[in-house]
Amino acid sequence: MKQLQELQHAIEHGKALLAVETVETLLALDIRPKEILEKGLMVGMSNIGILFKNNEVYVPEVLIAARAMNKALEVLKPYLMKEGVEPIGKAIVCTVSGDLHDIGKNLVKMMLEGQGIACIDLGVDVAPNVVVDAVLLYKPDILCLSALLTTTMVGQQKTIQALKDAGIRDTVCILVGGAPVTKEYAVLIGADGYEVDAASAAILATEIILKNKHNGER
Amino acid sequence: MKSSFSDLALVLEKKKPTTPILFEFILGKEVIKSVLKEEYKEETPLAYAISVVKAFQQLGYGYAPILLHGAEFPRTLEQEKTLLTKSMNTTGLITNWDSFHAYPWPSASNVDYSWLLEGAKALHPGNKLMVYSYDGILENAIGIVGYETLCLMLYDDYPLVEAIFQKIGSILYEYYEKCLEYDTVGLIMCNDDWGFNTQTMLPPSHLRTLVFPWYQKIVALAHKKGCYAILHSCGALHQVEEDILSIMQFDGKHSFEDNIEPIEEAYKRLQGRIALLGGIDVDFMVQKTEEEIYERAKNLVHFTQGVGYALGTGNSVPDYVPFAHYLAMIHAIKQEETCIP
Repeated sequence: MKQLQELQHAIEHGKALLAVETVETLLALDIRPKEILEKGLMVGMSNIGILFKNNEVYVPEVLIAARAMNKALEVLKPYLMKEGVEPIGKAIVCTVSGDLHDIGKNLVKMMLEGQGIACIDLGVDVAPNVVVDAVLLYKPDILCLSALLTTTMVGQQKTIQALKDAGIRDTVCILVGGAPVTKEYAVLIGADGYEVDAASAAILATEIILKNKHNGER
Repeated sequence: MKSSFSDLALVLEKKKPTTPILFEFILGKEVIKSVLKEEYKEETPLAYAISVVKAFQQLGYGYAPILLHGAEFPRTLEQEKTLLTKSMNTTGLITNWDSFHAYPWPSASNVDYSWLLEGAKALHPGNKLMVYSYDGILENAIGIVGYETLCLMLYDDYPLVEAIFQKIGSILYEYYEKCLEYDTVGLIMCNDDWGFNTQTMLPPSHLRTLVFPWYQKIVALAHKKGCYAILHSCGALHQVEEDILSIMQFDGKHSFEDNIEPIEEAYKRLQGRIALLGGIDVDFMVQKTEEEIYERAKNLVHFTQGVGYALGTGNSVPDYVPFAHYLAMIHAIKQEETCIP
C-alpha cells in the first residue's frame, strides 16, 4: 500500500510531521493500527537499523528516525490499546554500576522499540540489586547491560552474579555490549549474547523473544 | 634508553629511528608518582605539568606532553570532576541562539604560554614539548551541547551547529597558533575522539564540513612552523581515513583498539602513509599478564623494526593499568633496541 510505504519512508528519513500525517491518513482509511505499526513504523525503523549496521547511516539519522517513530506512535497508541495490540516482548536496558555512558544504551533502546519490544530504561550507573528488583518487578524477556570501560565492564559480571544469587538468572535472557566487551567476554561472564552494534542487538533480541515464544519458554 | 626527539622526528617522517622508541599520550597520576617518587609535585597546575615532563624524560621518551590551562570550554556538571566516567549526553549548555550568545566562551589569550618555557626546563637536551588541548573540536561541541542534542540540532538548527563549531575551531586554532610560536614545542597533538566501535560519531559529511577544515589548518600551521602534528582519535575511523592521510595530512596517528583493528593489522595497511604510534590496547594492558604484554610489545617492535612506529599503549596509561604491566611493555624496547640491525 502506497501510504504504508510513505510511512516507512518518513520514518527512515526522520520526517516526524510527515509520519504523523501519514498515520492519520492511514487511520482515516480504516487501516488496522496493528498493520500501521508493523508494516509502517516497524519496517521503517528496521530499515534504518540495517542501514546503521552497514554504516550507511549514522547515529544522527537513527535519532531523527526514532524521533519520527515516537511522534507517530503517540498518535497510534490509543488505537493500538483499543485494539489490544501488545508489544512482542519486554526488555530492561541499563548501563551498569560505576558507568555513566548512555549513548550505546539509548541506541539499543531505540532499536528494540523499533522492533516492537517495550523497554524499561533503568538509566546509568545502575547497581546490581536495582537490576534484580527490576527483573522481579517487570519480568522482562531480555536484559541489556551496557558498559563502556574496561573498569566498568566487571559491573556486567556482578549484575549477572546478583541475578544468580537471587535465583532468577534463568528467568531472563541477558545481552551485554559496549566498547571493550567481546563475544568471548560475554561467554566468560555467563551472558546469553553479545552484539557489536545496537541494530544487531535488537535483531538478536527479537529472534530470542520469538524463539522463546515458539518454544513456550520464559 | 637513549630515545630522543630526533628519533621521534624520524618515526613521524615514516623512517627508521636510530633506536626503537616509545610514545605515550597520557600517563596516570599514580604512574607519574611511581616514576618520580619524592621528586613528584602537584601543589600547582604548573608543578604538576612539570612533573609530567620529568616523568616522561625519566622513562625515556624523546618529548613530553603538556596541556596549558586557561582556554577550557566550561561545562556545568560537577559530577565530571568526581566520577571516573561521564555521559556525553547530559550537559546541554547550548540549546539555542540565546544560550549560544550567553555561553562564556574561553579565550586563547587567557592561556599562560610561559609554561612552554617552564616545562621545557625539565626536558633532556634536544627534546621537545608536545602540546595538546582540553579536548578537541568535536569533543568540545559534544561537551557543551550534549551528544544527542547535537545530533538532532544538525537537522533542527544547522546554522547554530555551524556557529558552535566555528567558535570552538577558531579558539583552538588560536591556542595552537600561539603555542607554535615557542621553539620548545616540537609537535602538537590534536586530541579529538571522532568515532566509536563501529563508525564515526557524526556522518563523515558533517565531519568534513564542521571539523576537518580546522584540523587541516592547524596541521598546515604546525608544518609551516617546522613542527609535527599527531592525531589522537578513538573509534572506527575507516570512513574518514583518507581525510586523515591525504587532506588533513597528519604525521602520526594515535589510539588503536583491538576490537576495531589491532595495531599489527593497522600497521600492515598504513605503513609508509602515516606514522603509527602506540597501539597496545588498554584492555589488553589490564587483562593480560606481564609476560603476555612483554611478548606482544617485543613482537610489535620486531615486526615493525621501528619504521614509522613507536611503541606504546592504544590510548593512555590510566591508573587502573597495573604499573608492572606498563613496565613490562616499555621493557620490550630496552631489549629490542640492541637487537634491531
